[in-house]
Amino acid sequence: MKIACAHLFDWVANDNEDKPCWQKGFKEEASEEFHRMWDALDEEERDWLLAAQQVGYINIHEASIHTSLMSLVNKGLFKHVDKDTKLQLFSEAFSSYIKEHVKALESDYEEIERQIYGGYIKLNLEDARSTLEHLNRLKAEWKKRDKKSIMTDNTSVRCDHLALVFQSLYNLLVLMDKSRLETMGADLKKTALVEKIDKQLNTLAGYFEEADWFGESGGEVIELHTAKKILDALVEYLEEHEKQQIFGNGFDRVLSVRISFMKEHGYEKFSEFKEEVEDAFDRLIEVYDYSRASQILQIKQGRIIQRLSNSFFNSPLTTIFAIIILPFLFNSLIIEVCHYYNRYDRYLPLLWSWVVAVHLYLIWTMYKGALSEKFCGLPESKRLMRKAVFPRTLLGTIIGFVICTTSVISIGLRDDIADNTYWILLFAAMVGVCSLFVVSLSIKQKVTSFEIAFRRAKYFCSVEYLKAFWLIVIMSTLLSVAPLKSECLDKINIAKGVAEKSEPEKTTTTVSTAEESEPEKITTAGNAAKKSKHKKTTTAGNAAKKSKHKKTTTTGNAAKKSKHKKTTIAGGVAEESKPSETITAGSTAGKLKPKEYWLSLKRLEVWGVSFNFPILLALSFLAPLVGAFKFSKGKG
Amino acid sequence: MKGETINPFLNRNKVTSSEEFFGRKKEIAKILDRITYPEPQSVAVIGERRSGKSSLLTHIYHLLSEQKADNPGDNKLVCIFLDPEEIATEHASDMTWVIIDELVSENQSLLEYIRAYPPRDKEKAIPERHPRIILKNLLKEACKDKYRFVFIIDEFELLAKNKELSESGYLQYMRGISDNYALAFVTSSRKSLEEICLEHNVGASPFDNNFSSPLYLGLLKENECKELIQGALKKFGCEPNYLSPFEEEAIELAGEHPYF
Repeated sequence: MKIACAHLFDWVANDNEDKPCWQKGFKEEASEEFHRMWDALDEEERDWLLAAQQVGYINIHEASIHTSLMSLVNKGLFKHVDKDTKLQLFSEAFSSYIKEHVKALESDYEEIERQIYGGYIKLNLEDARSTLEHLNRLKAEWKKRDKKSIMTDNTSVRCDHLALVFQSLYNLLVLMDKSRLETMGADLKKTALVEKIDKQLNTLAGYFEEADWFGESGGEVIELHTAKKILDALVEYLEEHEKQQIFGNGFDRVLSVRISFMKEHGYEKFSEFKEEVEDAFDRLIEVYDYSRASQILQIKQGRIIQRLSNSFFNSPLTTIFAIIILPFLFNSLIIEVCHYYNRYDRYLPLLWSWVVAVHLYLIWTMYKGALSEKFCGLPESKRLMRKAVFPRTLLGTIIGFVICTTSVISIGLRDDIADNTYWILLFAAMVGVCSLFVVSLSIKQKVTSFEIAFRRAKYFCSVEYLKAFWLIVIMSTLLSVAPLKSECLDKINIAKGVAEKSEPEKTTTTVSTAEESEPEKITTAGNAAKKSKHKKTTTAGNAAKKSKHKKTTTTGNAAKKSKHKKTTIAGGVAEESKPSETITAGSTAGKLKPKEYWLSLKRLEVWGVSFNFPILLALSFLAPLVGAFKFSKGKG
Repeated sequence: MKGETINPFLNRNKVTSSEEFFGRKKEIAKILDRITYPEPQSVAVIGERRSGKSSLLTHIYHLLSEQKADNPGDNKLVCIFLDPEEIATEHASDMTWVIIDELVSENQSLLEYIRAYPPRDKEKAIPERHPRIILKNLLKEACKDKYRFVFIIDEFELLAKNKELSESGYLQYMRGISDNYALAFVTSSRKSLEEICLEHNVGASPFDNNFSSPLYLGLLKENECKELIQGALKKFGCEPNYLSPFEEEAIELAGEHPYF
């Protein structure tokens, strides 16, 4: 003020001789002073200020405001000043700078950043490009300053984040730009383009997840503001281009991260943004395919499945093993064990134990997946998983487990198999439980509109895991009911009764319905057959046939060849057989050639009854794992 | 008025008279709050060249002196202004003597504490350390009698640049005495103390550790600019509204900077 007022005073005191004179005099003196100030700065300070001036974005640290102001003005004079244009340049540099920057910086430092945040999401390539360039330049300058920087470390980190976000955003915008899209469409396949966009979106989402740029309430508002902008921009893009299917889960991820952030931080606090964001989301639902849009909310759940699938499937070979071979092996093993101990009544409990173990493993895997650092990334995500997603998944798993085990146990316990009423009731109960599950989830989400509730319920039913779940329910029920109508199961039950009464030292015969056969023909049925210690052959299992040529073929999952040439024929219709002619299968698999063993399994499949359980179990595995695979392929 | 009145704005040096100092009320209040606290708090004033740091510090010094003059009963707050030009080239021992001298000239009663604690063993004592011990003991005993001290150090950079002082750990010594006794510093510098200490490798123990948050000296407020113009005019016998038709223009042009 002193220089200006000194010149002004002289000018006024001298009767306003020449009006511009006082200003000119002031500027000449001020310019000299500016030069002195500029020269007094460190070289790196000058570099930084030049860079800052170029980008029009000044360091925000309060200590540098003054430096920035003076140096920028000085720079303006220093670089361009000449006698004729001094006045104009001074005025422009000084006045505009003060008005546009310094006052804002001094009064509200965050306002500047808010402006930038608010503006960067515009789908405008030029803006994004220039902003990115500015930031990169600024960042380079800031990096030069290292420890001596007048910025705090936090500011530096924030700048890095900003630059990364801009970089990612810029790449995204390039990909999304219409003309560019068309050009690329000619060169690239759609899938490749989608992958590229997805990658960018995922990167962007990653930054959002990491970004704790502000750490204060003001920052959260900005976050919400950003979320709203993202939603708006993407909706706008979708509306414009009508390319609803172009995005994969990257888009979902961006939105889900934003929405979960808001939920996590209780976005009621930010009422002014809440409505806007919800509106934007509704618009998104309208534009976007609903099932996919609503998956945004549940994407985390999908990722649990993905995690599960990842832990299961390390290679296609493992997959085949897990889905197809494992149930067979387990079933065979169980039968072998039963057979060895001559305790068929333990077959079902063992099978049931296996089912329990498998489901516990599923739950454990999900739990591990849900709490995994790699999966969750951030503490807030972890909390979300603990609070919301994991319980739901656990509940679904438990229900699936209960239904599966109930089916298995019921098959073993029911005496009156012919009564279909029981199964119908069981099926109805399962449907009821599942409906309740879906409805409870809808209620939990505080869905008021019936239509939306229905939509969401539909969505829940369409989530891969639940699809799989329904498949298990239906297949289990059908497979449990249909084959068991046969008399074979009765045979099992009767055999069980006989087994309990028989003396341990004696042969257990397991022909259930005591079918009379021709002397030369013996059919033995049951799940297993075993040779007795007293040189008697026990033929057991689902079915066994004796050939007309006095060959005893024991079938089922287990059968043993008699060592002592004696065959006890079950149900009092036993016929002696020549041991040399006895062919065993199932439990004596070790004694059979592999080909024969597998052939025997195939035959079992045809006969159905005992093989019913492997099928059921294989399917109960197959379905969720297929669903998990779908997720892992990114279609969820 | 033409040709008769001296231009009130010609002084381009620091303002040494309180009557010529205008504005910065908020900053002044902040500084006074901190240094007149029962346990005085150190303040670092940071600002660019020509932003009025020295004038502000001088003004603070005068304010404290006036306060003391208004209330002679309360002479327990002793404030000294250390001239940067004077102390920048001093040796450590000389620097301490300067401080002691300033303290005594500020408050004669402090002499008693010096007399009471002469170096105990003159022969064995290290000569360079004598003044430090004397100053330390002076502060120690005076603080027992409820004295409080404020050292105003303008242009702290000059002090930090003095290699002799930094190598002899003088700033650590200063920090030590301010930690232990009712002593506060008011410094002014262009950069933050942290940066200055880093730049000049001043000791392992940061001098700025016990400073409260720095006070940044920015531009004047619009009303302060007007106060400056009108106050200066008034002091020199002009009408306060003498320049009022052009005030806005001048403020805009100078960008509310006190110097420009």
